[in-house]
Amino acid sequence: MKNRVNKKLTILLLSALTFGSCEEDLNFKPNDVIEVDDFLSDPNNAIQLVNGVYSKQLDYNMYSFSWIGITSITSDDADKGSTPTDTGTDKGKMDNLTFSKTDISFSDVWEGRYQAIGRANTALFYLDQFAIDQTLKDRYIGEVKFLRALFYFDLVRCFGGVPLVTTKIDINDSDAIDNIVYVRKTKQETYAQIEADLLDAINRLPLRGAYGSNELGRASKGAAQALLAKAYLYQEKWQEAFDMSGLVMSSGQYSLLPNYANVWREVGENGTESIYEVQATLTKGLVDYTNVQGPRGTPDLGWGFNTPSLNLVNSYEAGDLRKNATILFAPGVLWDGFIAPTTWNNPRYNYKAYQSSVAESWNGDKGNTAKNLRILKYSDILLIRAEAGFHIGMTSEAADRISDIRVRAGLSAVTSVTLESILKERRAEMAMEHDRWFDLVRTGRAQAAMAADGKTFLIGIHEVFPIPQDQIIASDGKLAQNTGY
Amino acid sequence: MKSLICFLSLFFVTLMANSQTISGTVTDDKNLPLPSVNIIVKSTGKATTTDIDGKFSIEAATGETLEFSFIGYETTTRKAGLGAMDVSLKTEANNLNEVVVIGYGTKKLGSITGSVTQIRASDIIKTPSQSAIQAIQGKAAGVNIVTNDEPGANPSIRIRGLGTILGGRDPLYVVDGVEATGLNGMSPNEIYSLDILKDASSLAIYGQKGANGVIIVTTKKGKKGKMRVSYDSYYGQKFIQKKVDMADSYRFAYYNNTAQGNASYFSFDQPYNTDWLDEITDTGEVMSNYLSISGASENATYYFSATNYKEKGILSGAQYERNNVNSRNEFRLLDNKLKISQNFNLVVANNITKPLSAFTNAYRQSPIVPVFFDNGRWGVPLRNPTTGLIDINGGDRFNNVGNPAAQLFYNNDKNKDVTLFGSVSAEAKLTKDFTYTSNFGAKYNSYKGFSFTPDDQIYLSQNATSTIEDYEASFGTNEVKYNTLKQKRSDSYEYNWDNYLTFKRVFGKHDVTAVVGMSRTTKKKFENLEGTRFNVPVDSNYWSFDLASYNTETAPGAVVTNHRDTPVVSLAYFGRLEYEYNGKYMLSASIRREGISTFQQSKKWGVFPAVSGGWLISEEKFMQNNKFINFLKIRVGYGEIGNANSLNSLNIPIFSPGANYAFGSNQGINPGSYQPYAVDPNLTWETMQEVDLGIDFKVLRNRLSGTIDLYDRTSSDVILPVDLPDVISEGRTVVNTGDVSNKGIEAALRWDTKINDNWSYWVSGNYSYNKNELLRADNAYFATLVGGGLGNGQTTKQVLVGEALGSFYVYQVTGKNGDGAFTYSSEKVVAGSYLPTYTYGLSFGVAYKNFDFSADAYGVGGNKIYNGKKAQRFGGENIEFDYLDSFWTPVTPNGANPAPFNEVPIASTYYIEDGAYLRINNITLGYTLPKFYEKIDKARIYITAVNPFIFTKYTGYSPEVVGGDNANPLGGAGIELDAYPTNKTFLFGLNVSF
Repeated sequence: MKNRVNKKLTILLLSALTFGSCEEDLNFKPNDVIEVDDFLSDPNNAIQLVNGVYSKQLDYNMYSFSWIGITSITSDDADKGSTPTDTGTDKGKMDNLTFSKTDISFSDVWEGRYQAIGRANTALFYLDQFAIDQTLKDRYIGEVKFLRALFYFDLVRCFGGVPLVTTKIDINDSDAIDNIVYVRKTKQETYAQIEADLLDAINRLPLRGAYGSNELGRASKGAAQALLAKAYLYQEKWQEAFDMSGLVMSSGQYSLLPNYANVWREVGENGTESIYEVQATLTKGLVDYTNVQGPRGTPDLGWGFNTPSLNLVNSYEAGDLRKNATILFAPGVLWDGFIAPTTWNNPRYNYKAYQSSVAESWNGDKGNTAKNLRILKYSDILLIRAEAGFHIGMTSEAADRISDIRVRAGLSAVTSVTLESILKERRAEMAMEHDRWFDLVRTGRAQAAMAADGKTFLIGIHEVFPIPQDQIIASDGKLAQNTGY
Repeated sequence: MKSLICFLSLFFVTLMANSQTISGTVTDDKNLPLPSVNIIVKSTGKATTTDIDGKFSIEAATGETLEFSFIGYETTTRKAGLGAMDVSLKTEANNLNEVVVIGYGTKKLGSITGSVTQIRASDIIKTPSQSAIQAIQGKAAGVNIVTNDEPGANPSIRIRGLGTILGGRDPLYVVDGVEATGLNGMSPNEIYSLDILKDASSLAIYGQKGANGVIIVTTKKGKKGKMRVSYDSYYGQKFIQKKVDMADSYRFAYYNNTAQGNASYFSFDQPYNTDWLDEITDTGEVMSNYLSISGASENATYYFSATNYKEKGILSGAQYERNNVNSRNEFRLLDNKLKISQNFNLVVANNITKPLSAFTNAYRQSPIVPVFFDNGRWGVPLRNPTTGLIDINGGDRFNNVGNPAAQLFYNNDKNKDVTLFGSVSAEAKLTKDFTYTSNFGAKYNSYKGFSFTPDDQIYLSQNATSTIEDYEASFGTNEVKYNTLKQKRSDSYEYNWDNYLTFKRVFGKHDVTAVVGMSRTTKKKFENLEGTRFNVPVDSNYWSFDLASYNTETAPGAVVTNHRDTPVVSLAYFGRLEYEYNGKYMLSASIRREGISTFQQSKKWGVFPAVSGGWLISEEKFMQNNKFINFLKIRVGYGEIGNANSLNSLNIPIFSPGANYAFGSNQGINPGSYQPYAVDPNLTWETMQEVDLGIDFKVLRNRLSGTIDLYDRTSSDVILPVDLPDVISEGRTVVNTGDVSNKGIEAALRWDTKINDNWSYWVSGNYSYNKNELLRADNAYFATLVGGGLGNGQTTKQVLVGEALGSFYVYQVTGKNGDGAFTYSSEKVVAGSYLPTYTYGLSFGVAYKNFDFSADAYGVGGNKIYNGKKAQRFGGENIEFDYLDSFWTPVTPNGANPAPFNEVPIASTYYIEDGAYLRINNITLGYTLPKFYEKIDKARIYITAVNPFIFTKYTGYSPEVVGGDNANPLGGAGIELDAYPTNKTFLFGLNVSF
């Protein structure tokens, strides 16, 4: 009897403890995300990693308000805009050059670029593990390296030398973190990394024309060459910049659009003048890029920041078609027939950031418009060619290239150029395209230009922006701050 | 022969008497069953105890003396008789007889060795509230309840300070043995008792689910006798408890003109002066009706209840209605050897939500903006630059805040929740000593919601001079988007299954109980489906996707999203041994081995032991003659509890889709993937270790009772999300970060006295002190973590070893410069923590004849609040009225506030405020009607004020700030970003039973 009870007990107990209590129950696959092994087992996913890096460019912390603030509002091309009461967090300080290391714009730009670099490194890490066609893999790697170089190019222009992270770093690898992630390299080393990535990308990438029409917008050999030419220009490697821009020109892939105004309109997107641009569509737009710069008031098209300055208005030669293509004057009738009313806050807005609701793709969502952001364009290459050519004595080539640009802008061709005239042309051609500040700094003209715009540029300090304070704290002080901040 | 027969019959009778099993039920004086009553046959020394239903059986001869004893009751002797014995024990004048539910078992309150607070129905029922949890605020030491006044929302409860950080800080609820994440709108009327387990030695048996404390809810059961019907009803109105006075249009103009350095930027003579908070709020209303029917027969008990609860929120248009149906039955089979209980709840809630951000917009929007312009168009912040007046035709949009009234008007969100939860439990008495229990509990929720957005109307409300034609023209040749309909469906399911075997035996003076078992829990089985379409007919009867003119044909593509969570599964094996000697010495030891699916292979399992002991000093001989001390017990316990809550269900490296990008001349979307966060493969259990030392006493003829607990808990390897360098991880990564210490003392006192038959009163109070300190930061990322971001580049917190977790770290205001702007310290300073160092509760009750009166208060102190909504001001937005009472001007350089400014405020001590408060939770006056109809047992009417007063120096809406960002201590906790006013409620109610 007792035995029987014991048996019964044992059975019950055992069944209780084992039924449904298999330890294997703790091992299962996720439902809401994809496991690494499963992801890597499908070769079609390789391209998705590459697309994921491109996609990062659309985030707010990449080219939106903060980038606009530190590259454009700082310069003499643009004012803060909006209403006096709306400081845009720190945009008033950007405009007045009174910014500091705690301003959110710097944090955004730093974080966005490093997140993007992290994505690129992760993509490269896993691309290696995919069993796919080698030619395709080469192209993918080339695309990612182009993007990584682009992100470092933004960083070096903003902050000077920065930490160079080029591999996927394990979170517990404290050695790599202390010695790589938190240690700033010199400006030269940073440019060397950019050059290395771009040279490799040039070898791997096809010409723009070799891409299928569905692939338009991917980084091409020409894009890598153009960015490299620009990187050489910033380092005053005139001969290399001259040669590299020459390669882009001789590739036969690009030409100027007949109408300058079309370069920034939807019709010009991915046109022959376009070398590389950030692709935005209605459903996947560049977050708030046009919204930040859209006319403020009624009808409410945006926040009204980054308005073209009077200084810019006055800088155009008479008859320069680029003035009215760059600056939206209100009130008036816009190119698409839209009536710019008197009930807008500011007299001028950035036309290059205007997305037409009536003549271009539009779904009413101001925060996500279809406006592509032009990063590299053929006219930029001609200007690089001209400037570099001038420095190595190829003045007639310089004059010819400047003439190409002037003629398209409705101005007369020139037979001779000076550095001054090349840079003036550069300003007019590239106005409101986020290059003006960097051009002034790299050519040593910032102080004079700022003074003319009523701002004080501090030599020895303002050439670079402050490293964001929260990054310095996060590194426990290992990241060095720039002088003067 | 005759004598032989006599002898034989005697023999047989004796024989029969000897082999007789006496059985019966022991109840208390309220006719409730009493478990664990010791029963001894005086002559033979045979002993047994009653089961959970007060039932017993023991072998004894008829006429033998049985002694029934139980701590807290007068020992009673009875002669064994034929037939069932029903014994009622009289209460000794204290409450130690109360049965407390502990993990996987029950215990007499007097034998408890851990820190457990019990709250009985009588303490809850007199204070009507939407939730039973609300009603216990201030009644238990170390239990902090944060009110949530949103219609239908539950208050949050925190036991012994900040426990775990991820996965919610809510305790585990165990309703009649079944785990639940909340009380799911259970009516307070249904609750018989709440046992709050606070210390690690009591909680360890529950494992990680108990890491934030456990609240055990025992519901009312049907009682034997006649069927009982109860009806409870109340109606009340809700008001804003505390308003923040905002500047009127004159002060607004003055401030902004000064900040602007332009005396005529805004005219001082504005046509409108809007009080935005007034415009978006109404008086709220609550109404509740509850009916229950209960009873019991020999082999079954039943309980059925239905509740209807309705609320109209103070935010205009917000509504909530809930219907609960609850059925609980218990069946006894096989001569009481098998007990099956079933509990089934259906909750149907309908909810019209309105965006709480309207409160924040009302705080920010300028008073010069009208709700409507004179021509009937919605007000917008447009200034005429010439006149400085608000002007519908003005060009200067001087701030970016929407019209909160329009925001509410155009918000159409409706939600319906159907929740089914319940349990089935079987308890089988295998032998005299062994009982086997199996509990299965599950919860299923189905949610349905829609949201309709009239895009065209919203456009018109924001562009006060535009017409619908302008709106249509703005789409050019594209399809005009008139409205958006979003439909949401989701369901979730979770369950737990516990099986355990209990051995219980009394050997003379030794009382041994042992439990072994296993538990399996599956959570987060969740799936949703969400879709969006444009352009349905505007009448709400047409709001379905099929009627959208902008459909899959005209706009093909993805309009439906679907998400499925990864479940979290945990498995545990546990055992506990309890030993009691002579009712004086108690020892309890438990161990739990628990595994969870979240962590990686070798990190899944943890072992968590606990041990505790108690000594009932007052039972000792030398204390017997002490007239002052009626009861004295000391307890000591140590326990470890694991916590495995993480941000992600599985801690593995993953890819996430959605990083899409357009390519091609037609800009077609190409799918993209990325790794949203990096993973630390070493992530494992966080362990909380706690030592608790406690004293329970009753003195002065049991009139003064009290409990004092000292505890020292250290959470090691605390699981927290941290920011890694951006290049390593875009999102936050969850890591084991360091050690956090919580040390404290809890004391509770209660004075109960009955002066005469007409007068009785009680006063109780509790106090707890807690010191939180970050002892160590093990993780380099954690050690340098900055938090408490305000979204404008300013941060307010930083990890600092030696300080409370989540301490404020901001610039110290040092004075003002020549322009009246603040000057600051060069380095940030520690400016206190949002965690209170002490909390206290007071309650008072008095009964005079048929009147009863009670009042409760609750307070906290030692905490700071960052007035974030004030510190987040952008230019052109409103300011608080008081600002201009004292501010810097060249002639008043000592004004308290700086000169008006529009720049983003620096995170500084200026915005740190004292968060201490004392709130009167509840004042109730009740009157029990004299018997006026024989069928009615009791009828009581009452009036109650809920949260009528608050005393605080804090200038914001509420010092009870849960904080956004999931109340992450290094995130939004303690920062008032949203201006959400708390409510006060006045109720009138009725209880009837018959």
